[in-house]
Amino acid sequence: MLEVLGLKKKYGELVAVNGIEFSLQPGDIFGFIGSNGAGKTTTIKMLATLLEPTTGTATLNGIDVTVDPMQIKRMIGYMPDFFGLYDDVKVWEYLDFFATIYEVAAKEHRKVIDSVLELTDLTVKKDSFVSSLSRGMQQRLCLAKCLVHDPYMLLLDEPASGLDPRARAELKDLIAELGRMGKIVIVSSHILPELSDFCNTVGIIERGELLAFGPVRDVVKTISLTKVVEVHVLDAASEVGMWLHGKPHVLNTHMMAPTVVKVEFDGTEQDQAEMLKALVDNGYKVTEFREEPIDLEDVFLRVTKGEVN
Amino acid sequence: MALRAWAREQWRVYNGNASSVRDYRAQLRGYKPAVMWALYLGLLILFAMMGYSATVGGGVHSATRVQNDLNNFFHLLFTILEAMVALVAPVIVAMSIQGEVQRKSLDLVMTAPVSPKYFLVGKVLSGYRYIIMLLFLSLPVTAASFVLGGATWSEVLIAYLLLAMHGLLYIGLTLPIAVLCNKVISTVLYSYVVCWGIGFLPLLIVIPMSSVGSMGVTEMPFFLLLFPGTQTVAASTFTTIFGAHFPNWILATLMILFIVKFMMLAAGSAMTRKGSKETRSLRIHGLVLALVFSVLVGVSAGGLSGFLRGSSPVVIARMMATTVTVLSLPIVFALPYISCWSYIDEQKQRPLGLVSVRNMLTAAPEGGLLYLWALLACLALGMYVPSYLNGVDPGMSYLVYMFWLFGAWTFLWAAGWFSSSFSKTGVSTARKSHVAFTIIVTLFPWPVLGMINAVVGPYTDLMQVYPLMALSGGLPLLNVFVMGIEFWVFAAIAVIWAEKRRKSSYSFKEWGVNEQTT
Repeated sequence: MLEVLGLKKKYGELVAVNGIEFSLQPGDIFGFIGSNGAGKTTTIKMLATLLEPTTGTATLNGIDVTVDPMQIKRMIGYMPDFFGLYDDVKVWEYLDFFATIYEVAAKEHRKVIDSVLELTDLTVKKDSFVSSLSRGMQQRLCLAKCLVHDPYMLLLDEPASGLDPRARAELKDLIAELGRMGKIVIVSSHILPELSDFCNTVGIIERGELLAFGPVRDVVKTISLTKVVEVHVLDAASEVGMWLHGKPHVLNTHMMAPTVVKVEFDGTEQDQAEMLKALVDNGYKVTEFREEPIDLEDVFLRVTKGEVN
Repeated sequence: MALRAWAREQWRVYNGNASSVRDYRAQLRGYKPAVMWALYLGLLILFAMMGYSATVGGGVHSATRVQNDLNNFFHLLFTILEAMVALVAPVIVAMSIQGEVQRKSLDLVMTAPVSPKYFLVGKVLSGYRYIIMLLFLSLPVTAASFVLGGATWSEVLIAYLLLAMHGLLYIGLTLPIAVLCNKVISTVLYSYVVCWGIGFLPLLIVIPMSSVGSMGVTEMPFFLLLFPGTQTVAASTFTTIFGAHFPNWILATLMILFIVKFMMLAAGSAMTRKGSKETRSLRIHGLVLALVFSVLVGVSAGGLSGFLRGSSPVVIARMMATTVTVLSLPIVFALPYISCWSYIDEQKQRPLGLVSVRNMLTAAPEGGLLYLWALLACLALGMYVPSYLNGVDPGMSYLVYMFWLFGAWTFLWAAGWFSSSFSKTGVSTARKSHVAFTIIVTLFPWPVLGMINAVVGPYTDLMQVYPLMALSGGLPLLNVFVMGIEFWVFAAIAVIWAEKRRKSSYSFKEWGVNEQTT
């Protein structure tokens, strides 16, 4: 379990991360959302023991990142937003290097290397030079390197940036698979559609402040206090719109077509059901009644102001 | 149990070090190494042939003359090799460490459960292996000096051993520079300044020592073998320590190994946070190194005290103070790191007070002053004790000189503390200002003093504004004392001013809430 409490990082007067708090369970895939410069990488680097927090703590299975960084390092796999690859060695040599420094038993190296290469679909490139790999392959090799010691938590900083759609889809599948394996996966990104597909928890950060955190559905619900309900009727929609105007929780109505009206609504699901019942009870022939889905991107845009440090 | 864990860790660090193996694979792959080695060998042969022509040449000479020429050829060959090693070693280490920084692979390594020691030992091993390969390649060329009769096998072998140790020393000296710099080119340049600069140090040490005329044909202080171009006399020289003769090459090898370890700790300390075990170990090793080196210099220059027996206490004190001053000079490289601070950098740069005994061995700025004094005390004591045991006591005069020396170093430390209080852009700016100030105070007056010397004559009162003039012969002890007082007063003014600024700064109010002073 990862617990982050009041984690803060200051560079002089600049507050890069301002006392953020969250906790994650095994199997959680946490999408860390924020604009460039919001504090995602700084937070991840503090969790990876690369940066010293100014104040606050982060504990992984009860071990504080500042107190026993060596123990934390054994439990994490860190993939930075750059590759940091040794391009003058072969793929297996690269993984062999990390297997050695992560204290994987020498007799296990071959087996571990083969299995992570298989998992990342790089087996055919085992004897190729790192410099000859495509960007997507290098990205996967970097992920493979994170897996050689079977870490408890993975910190992936912008893992999909610069990848083509196919490579991105493959990476998504791979991360989802890692979540199913029971690992805590923290994925930072500012490309929101790629996160919403496989993350079960999200956090939105801006100017170092964690503005929202929780399961994707809860965050969306919490943030989206006003929702838009689309009502299709057989009757004149204008009449429905006028009837709805001034009713509880109805903020506004918009005619979209002669038989379609959009209702801005700030009630609960119960209130929503009451409204549908009232429409039907009043004799309106409702053919369709649905809430417009709100995705992470909408939530992000609503929560953030586009400010950076 | 702890011993077993320690042994296992050492085995892991030194045997099959992943960093070293990786570098080894990259270094030896492809055609580049073969081209480099061919070029190296070609140059070596060319220089050797030129050297042979210059030293031995043709014509008919007497056997004594030929023997002498061949011996010179032997010296020349190893000087060329030394130059090659001094050129190559810093570049290899700089490229290896800076390569990691530039491609950001260092971040990946640092998130693995490896200590800075593991990483640095890997770099030393890979760099050193390359140097050893270069030395092996030179064997056919240097064998000529044996075959032709310029040197014996033992001389050649010991010269090689010393050369290999010098290679290790250059690698060691480059390590902290490579960690602290952020570009390959600056790392190489600074390393060259340091590695080639130590070639000039013997001048500073030999001059005062040769002036006492203590060196025999085969007896010389072992530490001179630490400097370039001395391998060829290594086999035949020894140092007398309390009457016993110790071969210089053994003492020099041990000293180099200790210095390399010290440098690795310095690099490791630069890579770690406040209070790390690397910093603690570095500081303890620094004190031990200062004490041991000072004692050994005092003992090996035992002729120094022997020669000085019967001289006036002031002369003895001045000679000893000069040696201590020279030995303390490397502190100038460490001073910006123990005197400068900033509240806008990492925790280890933020002072929680002016002086703290508790933080003497951590990287905290408030521990810097006491550590500096401890270093100087080790040097001063290390020089005094052997002399005293040898029946040569400089008495109170030595204390006066030490009062001056401590004052001079405290003044330079205070300059770092002072420049930090004015730096708004972090500790690196403060360090640069401090280095600039140190250079201005110590080096710039030389040409001016030269002119005064030429026009007015030596030892005028005006020349006493220069700090090192305290060591000049003929200066009354009282003047040395007054110069010491001046340093202490200037240091106090600088510190009081800096403390006022530090405590009134916004950053201090934010960070200095837990100020502890002793």
